[in-house]
Amino acid sequence: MIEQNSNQNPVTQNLPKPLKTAGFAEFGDSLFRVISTLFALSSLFLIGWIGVILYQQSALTRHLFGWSILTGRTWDTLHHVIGALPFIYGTFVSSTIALILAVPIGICAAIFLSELAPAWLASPLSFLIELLAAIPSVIYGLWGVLFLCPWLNNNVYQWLNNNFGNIPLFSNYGGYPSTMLAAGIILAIMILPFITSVSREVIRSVSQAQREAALGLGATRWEMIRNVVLKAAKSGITGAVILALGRAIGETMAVVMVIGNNTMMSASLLQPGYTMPALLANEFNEAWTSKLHTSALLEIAFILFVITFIINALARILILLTSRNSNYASAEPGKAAAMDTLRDILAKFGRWLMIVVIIGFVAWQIIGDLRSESFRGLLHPTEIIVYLYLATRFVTRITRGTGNWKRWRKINNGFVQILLGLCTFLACFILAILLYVVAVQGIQYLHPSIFIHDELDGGMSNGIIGTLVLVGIASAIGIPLGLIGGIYLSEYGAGRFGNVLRFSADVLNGIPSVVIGMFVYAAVVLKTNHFSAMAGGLALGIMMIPTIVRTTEEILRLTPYSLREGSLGLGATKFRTIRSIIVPAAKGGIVTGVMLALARVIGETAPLLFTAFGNEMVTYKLNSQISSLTMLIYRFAMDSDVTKNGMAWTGSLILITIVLVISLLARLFSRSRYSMH
Amino acid sequence: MDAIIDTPPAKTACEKSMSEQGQTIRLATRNLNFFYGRTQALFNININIPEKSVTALIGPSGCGKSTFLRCFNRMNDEIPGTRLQGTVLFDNQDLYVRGISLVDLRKRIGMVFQRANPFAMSIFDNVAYGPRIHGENNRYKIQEIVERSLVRAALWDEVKDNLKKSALDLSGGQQQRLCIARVLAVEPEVILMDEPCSALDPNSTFCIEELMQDLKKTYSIVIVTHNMQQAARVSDNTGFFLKGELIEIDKTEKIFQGPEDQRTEDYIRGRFG
Repeated sequence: MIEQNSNQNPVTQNLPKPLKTAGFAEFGDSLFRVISTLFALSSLFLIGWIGVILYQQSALTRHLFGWSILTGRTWDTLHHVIGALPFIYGTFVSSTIALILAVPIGICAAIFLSELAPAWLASPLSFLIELLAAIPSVIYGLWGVLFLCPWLNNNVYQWLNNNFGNIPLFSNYGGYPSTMLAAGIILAIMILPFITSVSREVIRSVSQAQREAALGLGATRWEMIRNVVLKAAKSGITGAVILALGRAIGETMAVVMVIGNNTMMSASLLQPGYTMPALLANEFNEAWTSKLHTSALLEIAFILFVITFIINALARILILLTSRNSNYASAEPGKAAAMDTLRDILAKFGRWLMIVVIIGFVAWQIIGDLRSESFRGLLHPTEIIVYLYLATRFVTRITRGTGNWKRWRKINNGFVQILLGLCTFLACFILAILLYVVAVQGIQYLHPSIFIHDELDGGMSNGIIGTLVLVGIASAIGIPLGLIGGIYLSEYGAGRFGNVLRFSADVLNGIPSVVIGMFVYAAVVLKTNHFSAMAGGLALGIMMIPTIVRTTEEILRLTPYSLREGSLGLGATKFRTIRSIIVPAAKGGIVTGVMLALARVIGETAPLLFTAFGNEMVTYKLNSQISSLTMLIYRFAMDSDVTKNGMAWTGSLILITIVLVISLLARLFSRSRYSMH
Repeated sequence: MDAIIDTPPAKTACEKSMSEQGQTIRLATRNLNFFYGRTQALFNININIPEKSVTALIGPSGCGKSTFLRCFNRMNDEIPGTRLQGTVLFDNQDLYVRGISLVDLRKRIGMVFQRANPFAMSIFDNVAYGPRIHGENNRYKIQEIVERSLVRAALWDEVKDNLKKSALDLSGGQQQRLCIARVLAVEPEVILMDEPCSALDPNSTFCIEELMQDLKKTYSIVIVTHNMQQAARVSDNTGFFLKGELIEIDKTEKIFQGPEDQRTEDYIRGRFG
């Protein structure tokens, strides 16, 4: 019909400008998309590669021993007996202790900081706790072995043994400062800041309206927190705890320095133990010349990989399917509900298990006390705790519904608030002691000459320069892969494929550094036949990727979508929009992410032991063995020479200063214009 | 292309009156359906948008008018999971054929968004962004374009002394006018406006409405608004959307004085929406 009208239709009289077909600009966009996809695939690819390499390279022991490695209780590589049960047991026991200690304190501190503390107190304390999450594990280890273990040995172990000795966990005290319990405590201190800062974020994201609704109905503060805030934050906190468990399981340096490294299994926590990562760090030096021994260690690394993979995947799925405001494309409601149910079942199971264990232990202790001291045995600490608990239950019972009920709720409210405050101050106090000890001890040997001389001449220049070289290589690998991968996830990763990549970055983030170290050893060092700075830098670079990917994505997503529309609407290409509009708007946050990743790898030790190996002299060659500040601290700390121990403190002081300065700078950069709105 | 032209468009009263006046049709849709995933947002829409006039699209929130507007510069392509059926014509050429240059298309069909979205750069750079991405390198020429666009957008007098200032420091109304200047700088042929005044105070709104009257001498303008008075003030033609359907489109006076459809009448009289 238009055709019939076309004679009068002016459109056809002055011919319209034809629409152009896609040209060079659009080709550039597709090219960028392909390249960034490849970069973003690196996490997924690395996870697969790590699994395959560790599996392949441990073929020797797998064929010789099969499944018996998981059940064997004897570890004697000289006589070809390989049983890893003591290490698997030790890994789980030390992590469990860490969780039991750190989870309540960490969550209490998070509640205190987000709900109760006044702003002038909350912000410096949370800042302190966040900084402490950045302290390298080798420094926790040093502090543990030279300060905490002796202190525990003098003050705590004997008391525990005296008062709770009937429970097998605290029996059989042998006078060792390095024990399973010490490892558990160090791990608890290490994961505490992590649990606190993640839980605090989760709690803060609960909407203010819900709090007001509860208070408006006349709930006390504590009732509001317990019934509304914690309920809403449950999923996120559960996820945080599982992630913390993953970290505790994979932690190497702090544990190897304080656990005592004993291959005998013992039920007592007051005896030395061993964990899988500790074994890798400790035996690698003797192992790498023997094929069987190497293969055994690689198999341990593979087991560790599988365990941490499962834990991290579980935690991420839990967070992913239940949290409402994550970057993952929204989950279907049915699935989320199913996960909610699963989580509740797990929680219920965990609660019952805990109740049964506690009742069992308490009964055991009371029966033992009665046996040995008859009725006088009923005045020991265990019994007193039981009396107090029963008393509160009793008061709750009799006051409920009476005129005193309100008063009792108020008492409860006040008591809990005090308890929450105490937990926070305990956390900060421990961490303050750590910083104080490092500063006081470290300053003794702090002298300009240690920056100039290498290890042979009593300095540490080989380590400092080594760290710079290694971090340089790591940055060259990790920063481009991480940045472009992050851009991909934020700009193109909306669908299922993006979720897979996001998930794999999260999982890679949770793979312990020691596993990545063994992977690079198997994939690079074994192939090239020598340790090298390149291998060390590669291991650190791999560790940087997921951190940078995820922070970059988070930050880019904070820039308003309308900016993208504004630019695209003017006819800018996608690449141009990203380069000229999106990335500049998020610059501050991106720099922050990169610096946090740097702070993390500067403090890494475990992967370097298997890849860079160490060097007593200064070297700049990328192809030769190289030292690092962290490796020096480790070696000096384990030395019997007191001067060397002192040098370890000094090294720690330097390292802590570097890491804290970077973290502080990162904070300053994090204020971008748009993320403030 | 022939097939499209052969498709008989559903003739409306408005179209008849337009062809009577011999106005050129710039944008048109034929049997347009649009989906977000499985949800259908637009149902079988046929419309003609004439040259050098203001066409207003009104309707209650969520009726699909913004979605519809964004079909014309293929902005919906950026939202994953969306799908479009039917034809969108620009000067009688199908916009949705494969291999078309979106860069060129969006240069020719500019868009002003609901919330002012100046980039985090200086006022000057905001306006110069468009010409620069389209390959204009000559400094003097860019200066000239920036000045011309700002004058045209009625912002020049307010900002000429501090063009280096960050665009984010401008007031809301100024920011929106800056965004209009930014669109004018790339010299589009059609301007799409998606509720440009919804976040503005009455003064800035007045300013922008004045601007539209000036702009329609050269450009074809399509404006989405849920402010009926605004539609009545600025537009030549008005279309009424409801639940993803185009209920009625006609001369603005006709729509506001004697609409043919009862639902339009109810909406105009404020019985719902």
